[in-house]
Amino acid sequence: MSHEDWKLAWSEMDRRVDQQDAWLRALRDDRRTDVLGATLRSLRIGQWIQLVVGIFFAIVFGSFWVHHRDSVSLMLTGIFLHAYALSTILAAARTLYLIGTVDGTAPVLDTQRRLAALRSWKVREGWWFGVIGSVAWVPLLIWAFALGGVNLYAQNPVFVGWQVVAGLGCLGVFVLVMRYVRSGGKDGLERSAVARAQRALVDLDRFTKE
Amino acid sequence: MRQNEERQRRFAGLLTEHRRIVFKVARVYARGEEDRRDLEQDIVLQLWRAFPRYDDTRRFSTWMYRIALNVALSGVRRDAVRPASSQELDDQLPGGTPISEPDERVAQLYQAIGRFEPLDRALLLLYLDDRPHADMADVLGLTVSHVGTKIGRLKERLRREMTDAPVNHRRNDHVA
Repeated sequence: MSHEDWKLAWSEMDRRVDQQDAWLRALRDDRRTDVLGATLRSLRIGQWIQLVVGIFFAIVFGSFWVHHRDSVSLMLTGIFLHAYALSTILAAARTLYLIGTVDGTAPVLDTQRRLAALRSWKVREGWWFGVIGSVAWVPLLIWAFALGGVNLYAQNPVFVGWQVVAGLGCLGVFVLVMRYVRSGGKDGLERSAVARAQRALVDLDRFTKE
Repeated sequence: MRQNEERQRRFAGLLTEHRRIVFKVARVYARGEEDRRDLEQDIVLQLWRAFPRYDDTRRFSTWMYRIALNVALSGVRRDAVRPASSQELDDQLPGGTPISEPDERVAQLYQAIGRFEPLDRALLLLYLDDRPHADMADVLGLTVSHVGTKIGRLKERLRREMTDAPVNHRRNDHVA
């Protein structure tokens, strides 16, 4: 079968499709959810919520360390949490920016590259917040006690020390799990967001360089 | 209100005229009948959403290809998270949508195209539709010369894939 035969068969199929009025009618009657649009919309809403919550806690934690400059432990706790809140704001802002750059009417490679960049960013963001989140609960605990007027570190440094050890343990477990996922050690995990983001970028790179 | 009705009528007319694009893109990227119907629906929805931004000075078919392929390619990536059992089934169906195709040559083509990488499939689809290289470049975002080079390679690979057709026939018969 030659190239011309393929094209002839293809154009004959066009004529057949043109006669299928029922196809278009069925399509019109069958209302479904806009999956891709819904995914981006829910992601956008989630990022706006993260942005608002981040701003709220940036103010709360910022004022906390400013008011506790007399205690080094509380001030450092406040600064850590303040930085954490600021990073959630920056992450949400960057995600919103990346969502805004995705245009389904742009050339295919451009759109797919932007989608891949968004996915890749979400994966890296997940790593970052996973790492920080593994230990962030220790300063959060100190902050919560401080709201009740108790300086946990000053009153029971051993307890805080053990919390730090537990936090580092959580961090170690998180890093091990992520390395396992990244290596694609198990079939079910191989198709993770990490693998998909990497594959999308590799595919695009291959296509444009070949 | 009247403007909206006019827009709807115009969209329906253009969609009817170029429906083969939706049909073919969905068939090349979907896995099975249900998936194909979902993809067709997704494409039409995205076309309708984007229609207010459609620039009359551009060819509608080129604009339509961009959107249809973007939706289909995003769907292909989403599918990568399907359960392993579903993925195994997909592996048994290497071609495009395994629905019954009266023309054996077209069925073979779909089977062969389905074995290409998703982005290569997009280029092959445009090639089989006899689109000018400039259109292909515009749809995909490549240079015209790059399109020419890639088409040459893809045609050669497609020819090789088509020589495996007898094997695919049996598989297609089994699935259909």
